[in-house]
Amino acid sequence: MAYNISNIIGRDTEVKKLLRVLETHSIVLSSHRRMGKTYLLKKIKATHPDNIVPLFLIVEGKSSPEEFVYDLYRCLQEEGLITIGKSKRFHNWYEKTIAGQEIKEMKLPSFRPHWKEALRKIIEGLLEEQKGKTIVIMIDEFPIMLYKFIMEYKLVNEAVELIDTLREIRQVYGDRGIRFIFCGSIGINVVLEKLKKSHNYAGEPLNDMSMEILDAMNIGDAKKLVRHLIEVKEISIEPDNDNTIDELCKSVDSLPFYIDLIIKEIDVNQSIISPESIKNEVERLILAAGNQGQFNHYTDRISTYYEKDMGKISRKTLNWLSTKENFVDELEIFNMLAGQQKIEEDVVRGVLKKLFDDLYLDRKINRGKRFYKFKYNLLRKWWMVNFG
Amino acid sequence: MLIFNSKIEKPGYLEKLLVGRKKTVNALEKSVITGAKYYQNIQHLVIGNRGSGKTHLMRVLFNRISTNATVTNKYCIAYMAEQEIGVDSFYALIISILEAVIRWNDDLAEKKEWKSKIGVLKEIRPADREDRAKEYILSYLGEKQLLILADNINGIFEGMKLHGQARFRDFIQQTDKINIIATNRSLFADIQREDKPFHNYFHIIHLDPLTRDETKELIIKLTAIEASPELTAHLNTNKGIGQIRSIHFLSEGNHRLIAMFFEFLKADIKSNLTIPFLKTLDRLKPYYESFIQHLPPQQQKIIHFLALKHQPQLGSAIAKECFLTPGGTSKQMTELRNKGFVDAHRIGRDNKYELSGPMMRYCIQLTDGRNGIIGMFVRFITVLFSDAEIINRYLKLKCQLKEGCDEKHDYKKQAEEVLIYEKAGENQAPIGHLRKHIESIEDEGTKSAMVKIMMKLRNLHPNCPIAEKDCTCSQLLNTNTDDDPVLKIFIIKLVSCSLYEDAYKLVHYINSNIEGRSEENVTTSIFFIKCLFKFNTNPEIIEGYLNKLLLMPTDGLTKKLISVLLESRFKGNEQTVYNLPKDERAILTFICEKGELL
Repeated sequence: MAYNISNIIGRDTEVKKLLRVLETHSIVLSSHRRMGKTYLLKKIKATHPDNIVPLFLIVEGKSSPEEFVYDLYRCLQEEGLITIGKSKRFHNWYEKTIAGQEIKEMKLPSFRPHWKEALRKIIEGLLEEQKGKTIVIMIDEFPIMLYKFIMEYKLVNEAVELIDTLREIRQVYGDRGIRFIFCGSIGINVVLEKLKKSHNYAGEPLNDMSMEILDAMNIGDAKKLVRHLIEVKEISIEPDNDNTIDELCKSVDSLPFYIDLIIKEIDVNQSIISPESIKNEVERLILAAGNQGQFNHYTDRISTYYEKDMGKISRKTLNWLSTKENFVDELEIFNMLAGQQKIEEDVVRGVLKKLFDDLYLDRKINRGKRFYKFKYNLLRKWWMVNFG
Repeated sequence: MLIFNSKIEKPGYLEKLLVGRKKTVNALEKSVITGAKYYQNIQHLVIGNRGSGKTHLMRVLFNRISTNATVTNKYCIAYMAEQEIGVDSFYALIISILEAVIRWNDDLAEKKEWKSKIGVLKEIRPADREDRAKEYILSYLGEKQLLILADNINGIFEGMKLHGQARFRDFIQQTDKINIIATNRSLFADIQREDKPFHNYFHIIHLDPLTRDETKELIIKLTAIEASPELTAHLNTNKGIGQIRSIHFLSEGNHRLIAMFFEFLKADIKSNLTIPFLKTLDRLKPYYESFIQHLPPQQQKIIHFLALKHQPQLGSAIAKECFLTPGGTSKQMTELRNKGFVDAHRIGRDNKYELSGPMMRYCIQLTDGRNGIIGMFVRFITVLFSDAEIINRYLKLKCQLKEGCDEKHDYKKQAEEVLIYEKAGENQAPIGHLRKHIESIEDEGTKSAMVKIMMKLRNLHPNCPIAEKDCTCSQLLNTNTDDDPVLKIFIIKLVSCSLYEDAYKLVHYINSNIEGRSEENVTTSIFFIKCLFKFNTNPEIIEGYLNKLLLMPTDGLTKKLISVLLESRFKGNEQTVYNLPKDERAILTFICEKGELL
């Protein structure tokens, strides 16, 4: 599938960085929803250098490992990256196991015991066909798929086996040029935590992968995005200068989704982009009922994916921090929480670390002390209005 | 009947009747065109209540874009107009999409070919259908993109369940070819919950109810289509204007209800609105019942209870009266809110709930006895009939409170005159224009005094020197108006407009003119208080005045409303407003909007 990337503005620095990392490592790429992860992957697919063979696969809707393997295979076939005829090893395995059956039979229960074997053979076949190249399999929404295996389809063992099998593949075939990007809006650490706490999983299946985070855009890219959206939506801007664009970017912390949303709202209201309309629109989104600003997922992801106690403390911490514009000493946060409930310092540290890892908070370290504040000022304002 | 069906009505009519939604359709159309030009993804979800014109809007959008070559060269349009029943999987959705594309395709050969392909899908094994259907749709699209226009998308999402939604989302992301413009009655869990595939996927556009002016515009357009000169003339009379306002109030700016009211109004323009109202209720009853019938029994019970209770109810009261557990009630209320049946207002840790639309409540109450409905309706009409009626009522109230007043006095003319000033003031008409009106009044007395005042203020507005303003306004404020309450209000209004920032003078004036005057009626006093709000004076002073107001003689409803206002605005307890039923809240808002009463 060829993607049109004329709308994927900026992110060149990020693409370059990921390609550099991929030379040696597979990647876990995390960020909040709507940060542009999928666009980034599509940009890699559309602009990759010749020595890289990328494959983009989105897997949120897969309900079992065998379906995942089947779709991976189908996708490789559709992209012309693998053919049964040319792929000797895979073909041999295929003949022995499900000989004579159509490949779609892999969906049937009879294929269930064979999915791991099939996955290995597919990778072997792929490496054989694409000899000398680095194959990058970009799996979008991978953590959500695993989370659903565990929580919805009760396939805990299968989830663990898939994680482990993929690790084994990276280790066995990594030298021959196979790389993965696991990408997702919920951190894969959330899934592993679930497995560790509720299912006694003790492995460290991702410690060979490079952890990368997709953050807001750099200001240059953000401005490019604004210019692009203004042009394609044919919206007027007044005054038409860099300051107005700068103001828009800053007012939404250069978050691409909010840049797009603000411009959409201004467009729908048939207004023009000006310092005043930007200010009004940002304010309106922060104050609006009905999740117009789509901020709710920042609270929902805590209630959905965090353990109950951890979630409660996280909410209290964020409620309080939303009233602070500047960095706050970790000790001060502990004192605030300790004033409300009996709590260990270690627990507070753990919560803050998690919120930092999960991109809610920004952190700085000064003379060995940790200080925290909201990562995005836009989110802080919304949080303060609603919970602060 | 002109309660049109958007799906079969002529495009021209639909465009003409697109009141209050033009901006939204234009924006959506622009989004599609720019999407076609610049490969922009389109993901809009339009949210609006039942009867708020969603289908109408989609049909107009479809009519426009399906005849625009820029769009059709880039998109295949699948217009799924409320006919997508039975979509229970992603595969079924693809079939519906294919059928929708074919339905609106004029190429008969192509239609035949794709119908036969859908036929093939029926013959192959279930396990293979989805993949084959995806192949078909992608081959049908070729280089084009797919634009899905879907009404009530929640039905489709519910049918597909989580698994189908996730597969649909995967398909969208994987192919980069699918665009959606959808509508729904309310926001729903499948787009709101973090763990759902379409969480925050859509750009949400809320449809607001029609404003009073838009309601008028719609009724006038409906009248024009009907080509009824008698009705057109009637709508320009005081009674007609009052009826339009009442229709707006009762329908809460809902297109469908306005159209229904209009039908009955045109049938009998000479009657008051009671008969059209009851006929509308009769007609709406099965319509609302059809929605309620499909709800689980517990939710039906809650709706019935809320309808008969009239006032918003606490969740705990609903649980008790409907024999439900608190947890169960909370779940049911959330579902009813998501379905758009119920509004909630947070009161402390609990919520107060009421039915979203008053018309549904009236329809349910209709079963329990028409008398109550008529009584309620008469009260609406009394309050909302027309500007002149309101002012008449206000003047009567003043007069009754004044000793020795002649109750048989005809206030109509006086009321109309006040109305002229009000309208001029609202529109910020030039003073000269206002003067023309005033000079046309023959009588002396109040009117001539008003003319003089207008002349004095003519030079003050808007940028005259402060000293001059001070001097003129002081003179005006010192005018003896003890015997002429209308003149008094008039002066204060003008002065407060001219000297908006001069709080001190106004407070001083109120102190010296209101305190201890037993003949001051409540509406005059409220007006002073409103001036006080504007000047943002010490809250204690304001509260003091309001407390005095409560001691003054006035009618029951007004007193009740003032009391609520006092509680809500000055004791920082805005929730007390929700002790009032929705219709009385609307009256309160309406009164607040009317300068002469508040």
